[in-house]
Amino acid sequence: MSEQEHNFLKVVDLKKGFGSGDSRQEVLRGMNFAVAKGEFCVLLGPSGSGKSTLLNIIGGIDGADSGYISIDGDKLEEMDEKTLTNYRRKHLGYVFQLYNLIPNLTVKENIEVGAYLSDKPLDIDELLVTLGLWDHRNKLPNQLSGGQQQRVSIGRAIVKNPDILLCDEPTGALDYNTSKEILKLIEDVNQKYGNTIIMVTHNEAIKYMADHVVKLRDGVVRSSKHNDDKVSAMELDW
Amino acid sequence: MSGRKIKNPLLKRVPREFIGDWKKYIIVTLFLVVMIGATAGVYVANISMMSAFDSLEDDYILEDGHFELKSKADEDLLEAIATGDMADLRAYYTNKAHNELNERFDEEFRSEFDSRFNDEFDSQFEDEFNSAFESQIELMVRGQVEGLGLPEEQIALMVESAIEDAYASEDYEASYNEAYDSAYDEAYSSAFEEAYDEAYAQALAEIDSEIEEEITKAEERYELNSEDFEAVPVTIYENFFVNLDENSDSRIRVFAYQTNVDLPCIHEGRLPVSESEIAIDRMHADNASIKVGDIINIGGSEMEVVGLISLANYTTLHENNSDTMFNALTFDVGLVTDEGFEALSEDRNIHYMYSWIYNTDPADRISEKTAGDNFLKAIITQVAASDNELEDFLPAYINQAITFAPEDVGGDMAMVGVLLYIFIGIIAFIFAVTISSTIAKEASVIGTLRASGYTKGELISHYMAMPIVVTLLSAVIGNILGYTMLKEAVKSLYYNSYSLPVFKTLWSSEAFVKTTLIPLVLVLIVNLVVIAYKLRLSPLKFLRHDLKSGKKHNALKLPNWKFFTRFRTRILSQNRANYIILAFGVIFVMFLMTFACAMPDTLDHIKSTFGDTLFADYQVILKSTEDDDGNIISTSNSDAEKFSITGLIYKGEIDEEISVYGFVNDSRYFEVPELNEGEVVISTSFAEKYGIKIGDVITLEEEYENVSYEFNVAYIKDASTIIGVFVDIDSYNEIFDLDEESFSGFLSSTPIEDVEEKYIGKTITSEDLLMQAKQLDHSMGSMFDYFSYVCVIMAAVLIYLLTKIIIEKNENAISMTKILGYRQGEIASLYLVSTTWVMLVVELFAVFAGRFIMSIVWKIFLKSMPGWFPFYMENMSMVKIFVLVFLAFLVIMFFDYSRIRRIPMDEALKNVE
Repeated sequence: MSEQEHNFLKVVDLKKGFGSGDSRQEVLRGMNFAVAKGEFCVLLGPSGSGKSTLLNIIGGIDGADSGYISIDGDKLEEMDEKTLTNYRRKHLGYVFQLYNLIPNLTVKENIEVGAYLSDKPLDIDELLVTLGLWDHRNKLPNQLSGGQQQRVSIGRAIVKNPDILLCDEPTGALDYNTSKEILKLIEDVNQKYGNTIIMVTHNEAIKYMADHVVKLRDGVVRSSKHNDDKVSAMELDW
Repeated sequence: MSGRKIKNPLLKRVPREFIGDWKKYIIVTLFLVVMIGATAGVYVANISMMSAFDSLEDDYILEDGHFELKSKADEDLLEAIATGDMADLRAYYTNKAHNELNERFDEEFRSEFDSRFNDEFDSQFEDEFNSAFESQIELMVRGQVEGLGLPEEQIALMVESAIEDAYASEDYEASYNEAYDSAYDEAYSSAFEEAYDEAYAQALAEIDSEIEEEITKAEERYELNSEDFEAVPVTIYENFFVNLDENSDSRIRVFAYQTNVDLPCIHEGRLPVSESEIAIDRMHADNASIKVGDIINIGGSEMEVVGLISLANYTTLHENNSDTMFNALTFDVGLVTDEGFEALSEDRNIHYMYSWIYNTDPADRISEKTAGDNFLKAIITQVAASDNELEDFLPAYINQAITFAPEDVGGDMAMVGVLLYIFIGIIAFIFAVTISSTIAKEASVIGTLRASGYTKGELISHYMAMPIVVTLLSAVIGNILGYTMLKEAVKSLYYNSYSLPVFKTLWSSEAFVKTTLIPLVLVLIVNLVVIAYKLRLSPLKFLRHDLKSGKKHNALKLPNWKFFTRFRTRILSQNRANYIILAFGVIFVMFLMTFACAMPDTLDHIKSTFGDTLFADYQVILKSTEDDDGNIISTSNSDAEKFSITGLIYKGEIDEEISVYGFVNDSRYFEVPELNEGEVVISTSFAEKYGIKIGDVITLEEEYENVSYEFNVAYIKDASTIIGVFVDIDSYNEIFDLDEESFSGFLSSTPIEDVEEKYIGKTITSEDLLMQAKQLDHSMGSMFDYFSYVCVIMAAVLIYLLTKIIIEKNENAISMTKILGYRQGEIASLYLVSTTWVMLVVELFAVFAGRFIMSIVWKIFLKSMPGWFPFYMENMSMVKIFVLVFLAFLVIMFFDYSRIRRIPMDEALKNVE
């Protein structure tokens, strides 16, 4: 792996605060770490540790006060809004805790919403099979379970074959078994398509399936470790 | 991987959205279809009609104007007028006055000179002759007695006696006469020549100065010396007519058919070919139920109607140009053959009307006015330079019978256009509000899409799609209806009022632009602005449902009201955008309803108060107050009393013809109060229309003469719709420099039947004055009721759409209150009572403001046309408007109540996900 690939995503001295005066809160207080290309990275931390804010800044939907993030050598801070949108469009996939599906589009159409953004989308039918949604492809979101809806939202994110898949507590609203299935799916996607995955979670157990675990607390990186003996998602337990 | 570029899947949402909320979209679509369809119908019909009006000029040789002379013009005058050049008034008057002077001067001077000369000469000659005569006798006597030595006293006595004898002798008279004759001739001829020359020069100078003064005045008044004057050569055609009774209830203006100018368009039947045949106006025939083949009585002669026509110069049946409204009910125009005209006009007052057409067509409205002004100068001077008088002068561009219909048709287009745009504006805002609430509802999805890389532009166009598609669809359907069904409806509406020529439907790009492009652009702009504003927030804000930009305001601090009242106040404040649009829409619709109610109210009011306020039912204006034998015309009708009337011009926003009346002292028809010199009474209509108050000075002018009058307004009295100035007949005669016994005709409460028709210039009945109101009622009356109900439906639609949005926006809260245990009735009362508050306030405001604003609009509108109808609106009409809209609201509330009932309890939970 080249130096560039090794430092595919670099977070350098990143700071971010909210509010002003007495009510000012520093959420990120100078974070530094790097994620290699194709790596499954988990950002782990309790509520208020700044992990979602960090993910939003990586996703280009929030800005830092100082420091920078570079992806494949390009600094996000130097991009104007149009370039940022284009960056998200071409390079990023987003999965949220709430699935945010479009209620009057079918499963397949919701995935097409993602595919539309890409010049080289994955084959949707094949993806539907991978996602285990083939039989549900013509259903509307309100006919699906939470896990199925999250699958659709993952499908929508990865159909455009993004370089980076950002997942914000993707299992936060799901039960144990469904959560594991979703994690397995993300693992499979990572392996099959080679996307870099950055997942925010407060679930300690998930760190065992990651290549790289960044622990956050009070807006700083407590540790950034690579996992040499990671396990499959299905082996996780919590 | 698939290399295929996928079509935007968001597009699929549009039809699903439409189907999912079909009731709302069908209502909006129907609303737009009706509005666009009606507008397209009006535009297509009106534009086609405008083109038919334009064709009048070429196809039916519409006059450029007409003038009427007191007596038939001779060839020389017509030729002179046709040059379009001014007569040299100075030369004409000087020449004429000099000739007159020459004719009368010799005789007058001689008689005056002779009597003066003779008196002077006689007394002078006698003295001189007698003195010479006496000297001669004395000389003779003294010669005879010379040398006799007689004393002087004796000689003197002898001389005296000889002189006495000589005076008594015959010789004295003979020699006196001989001397007188010879002296007279000599003295006369030398004195006469000297005095004649002097007097003639003086008389000429006086005349020249008088002429100069008059000419200067005329030049100033008509700007005859204007350097801009240009001769406007015209072709003149005889277009004589007589005004006659038609059957017992109408009047007809009969023309002799000619093929030169103002040709008829034949709608049914044919033109007359024999003396007893007539073709009459189609519209009047329709109103009076006269059909081809009917026999009608025209001025006492039975004539067969052989054709129904419309005359190019009577697209509306305006009897007088000063009438506010045309009158197709009791006024008619007709064509007869030359023989027919001769028979009908025998012993009757022929109106010597001449129509003109400019030899060079004026390029535009401004040059048409310039040509008209120049031609007026030409005609005034030419007629003045003949022995004729100008009775009427009316260029086509100010002839209501020619301009009223096209202006009305054009005005209707503008009005319908404005109405359409206001409604489209309201619909555009309804869309915008709907979409705003959808955006709020879909905030997370929008945040996700934006985070995934969808651009703001893509999302804006996605949310714009629905209003654009619905407007476009409505425009297509509306235009199809407009070009077919609705065009015919509009057409028949106009054909029910106007005497229009036949027309062909024309494709109009203007109609397309105004009914399709402009509505689309309006919807596009309003929604673009609102949606772009709503979508300006960052993806993160959408993801967090944090849709308020800028500083967050604290909740409105409310007094310690009851909980429900505070709750409702919060609902009002939260949904204020919706309520503002609702208020705006309802107020606008109610304004329209105010118009629809006020118009018939005003007409009814005029009709009901007419009898009380009009002073006499019959005003008979005589052509001349002397009959053929020189006797003053009188009537034995005991109700009749003499009066005087004339028309003067008041220069307001338009040149309005004001009737100046002179009433006899102690008139039973109009009591003129004691007036000082220069003071007058004016009618309420006159005062209201021009805002004249007691104490004001008004200036009235003669239309075609260089005379103006100033009057002090001393009293304002009600005289129905008459725009008039009233004085007693003595003051009248003094003002207009008339003989003491002068009068114009008779006022009477009963018909005057003992004055020969040939002496009557015009009879104005109360029915004639009322006819304008009746015609308005006839043309538009039934429309007003329909219009009111259409307005109620529009109000209901607006209320439905906007309350639906409010309820949908609050579904979560409603669901949550249900979960908390609130009863259906309580919840409904929270949401529906807030809307009811708004409706009550809005309705109350709208009825009062509507009446006030409509009364102002009414004045502005009527000021631009002759005549006056005072604005009137019954209190009951205000109640009716209020109640109708409120009933519509209650019906919608019923639907809203059931909508609130249907909101499930899990709605609140579901959306939390």
